[in-house]
Amino acid sequence: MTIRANLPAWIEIGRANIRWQYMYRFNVLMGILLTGVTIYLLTIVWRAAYGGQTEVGGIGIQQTLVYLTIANLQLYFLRPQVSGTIQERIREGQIGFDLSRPVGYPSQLIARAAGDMIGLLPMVVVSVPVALIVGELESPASFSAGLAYVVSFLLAWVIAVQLNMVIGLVSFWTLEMTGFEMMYRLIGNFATGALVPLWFMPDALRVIVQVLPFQSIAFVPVSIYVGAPATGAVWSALAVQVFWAVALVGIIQWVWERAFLRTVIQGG
Amino acid sequence: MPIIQVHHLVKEFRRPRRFGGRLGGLRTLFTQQYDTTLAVDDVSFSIDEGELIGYLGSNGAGKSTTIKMLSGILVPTGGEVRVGGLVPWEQREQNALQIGVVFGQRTQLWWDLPLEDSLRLIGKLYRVDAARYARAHERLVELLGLEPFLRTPVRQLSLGQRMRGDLAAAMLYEPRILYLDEPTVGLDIVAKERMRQFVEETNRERGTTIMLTTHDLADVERLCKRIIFIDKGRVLYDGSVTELKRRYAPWRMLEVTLAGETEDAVPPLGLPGAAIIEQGAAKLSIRFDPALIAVADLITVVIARHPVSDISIVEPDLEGVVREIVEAGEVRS
Ligand SMILES: Nc1ncnc2c1ncn2[C@@H]1O[C@H](COP(=O)(O)OP(=O)(O)OP(=O)(O)O)[C@@H](O)[C@H]1O
Ligand SMILES: [Mg+2]
Repeated sequence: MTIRANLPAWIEIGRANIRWQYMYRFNVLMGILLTGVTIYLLTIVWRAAYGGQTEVGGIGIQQTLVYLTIANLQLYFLRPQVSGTIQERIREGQIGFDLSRPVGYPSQLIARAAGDMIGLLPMVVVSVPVALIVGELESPASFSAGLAYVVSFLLAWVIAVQLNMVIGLVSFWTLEMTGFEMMYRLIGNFATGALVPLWFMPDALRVIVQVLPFQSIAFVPVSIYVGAPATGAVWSALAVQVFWAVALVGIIQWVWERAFLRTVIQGG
Repeated sequence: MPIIQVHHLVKEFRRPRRFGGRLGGLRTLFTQQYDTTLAVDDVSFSIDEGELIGYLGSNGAGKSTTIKMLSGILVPTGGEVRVGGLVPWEQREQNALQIGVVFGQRTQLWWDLPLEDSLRLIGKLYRVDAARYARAHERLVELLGLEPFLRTPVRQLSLGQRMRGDLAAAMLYEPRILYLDEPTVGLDIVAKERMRQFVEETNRERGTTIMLTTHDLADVERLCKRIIFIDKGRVLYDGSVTELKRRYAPWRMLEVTLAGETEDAVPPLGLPGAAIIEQGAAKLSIRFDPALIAVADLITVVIARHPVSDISIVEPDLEGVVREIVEAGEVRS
């Protein structure tokens, strides 16, 4: 009922955001440049780490390099602006207007993020060649791995948006971003597995990273892409993502209700 | 039944005390000390459907805070509110559909979008179907003269144009209730007049209930029969403008222009309830109390004594009344 009633609004918000991507094309291109540099540096570092060997711990250098290239390439599409948007709206005192809409605020944010992502998709034609030049690209390990990757990538997007939203909603308490977000960025970035594949992490660290949701953003889909998990393990990898997507819906609902009670609309 | 009911509404802002210096941010985060502001302090009133009331008070009196709670974007510390039968901050989404809000100091439009696109987005957000949208859009574009800048991004609009755009946005889905928080702030005389006309027509023709906040008392004189005056979060006066003026300034002024100049002092009138309080070269200012002497009688006497070329009656203005209330911190009974 409310979904039917709100759908046109979500679509319109998404459309407006697709257009914004083109207005900010400079940022969009800078993002690709940064991604290219990251992939380039990681490739150098990991080649050095392999020290001329073709295989370390049973994992070939080519597979690792493809993993790192894909992980950082897709991360470019998985950096939702949700928390930044929330902070900006709070700081400018505009949040009141967002809250006064007949459409729930979290759902407005998801619609925006979807628009952002769709607006970015055409950038594949720029970012893939860049990644091809600076890193190592290969097609998915198998047809079914490719299919599972698409599903996993979409789940990764959902989880990336959700995690970003939780962080953003915390600004209702702190009003401006504190060390909290920087800590999140640091830990979160590392724990996605986009810099170090989980299979190279020491056991204790890997266990921690595996119970956190961040690996769902990079490690899970990309390891599926390069064919690291066995066929049975692909299903359980997807199940972990589904688990987090559902759990985060509950977490967001919980945080959002409390955040709203704290709303402080600046100025006026 | 009143459409807006407010009972003992209270809003206290609590802010953790800020600390400076090294690790000040951390101390701020974990401190138990707060600075509190009582922005709205036990406010009660009710407004009937179709009323147009002025919600007045000096800077920081608590007007915007009240309006934010009535629109459901701020949760009060205490008290009860019903707007069209709904508790605004609990039934937020339903409440949103029945109210329109304009904050003169901000815009609900999207800076980067052309006005037209902002309006379309609002239409979708408020579930306005295509036919209704077309009708409301046409009416508002015409009434507010939006045509010349419909395709202009909002960030490039002048203040007056933007404000008209904001009014259109708030009325696009034809809400029953309109909250206007300083809609005329910063507008020139022509734009102010256009705004007032729009507000008046909306109230008269559509029966929209309007709550208007403004520091321009000419807005109030022109538009509102009833005002609610608050100061430091408390209601000082709730009643008609006429009654307030009667309490403060029962006097009217009769401004008389004489046909010729006189050097001599004019003798006192000798009438009850009327006195000459100023005499210029060819001018007399007579203060009188309409309760004690009829205007017609006064004019007859003046004309009989002096050659008069022009005569006019001046009503007391709200400005002086409000200044007096604010200075005294209370309203005379
Ligand atoms: N977010 C906030 N945090 C803390 N204090 C606040 C906040 N918003 C408002 N206040 C305080 O509450 C009081 C009432 O503010 P409010 O904005 O309601 O006044 P107002 O009547 O609208 O004034 P103005 O005519 O200047 O717009 C002021 O003392 C203000 O400092
Ligand atoms: Mg205000």
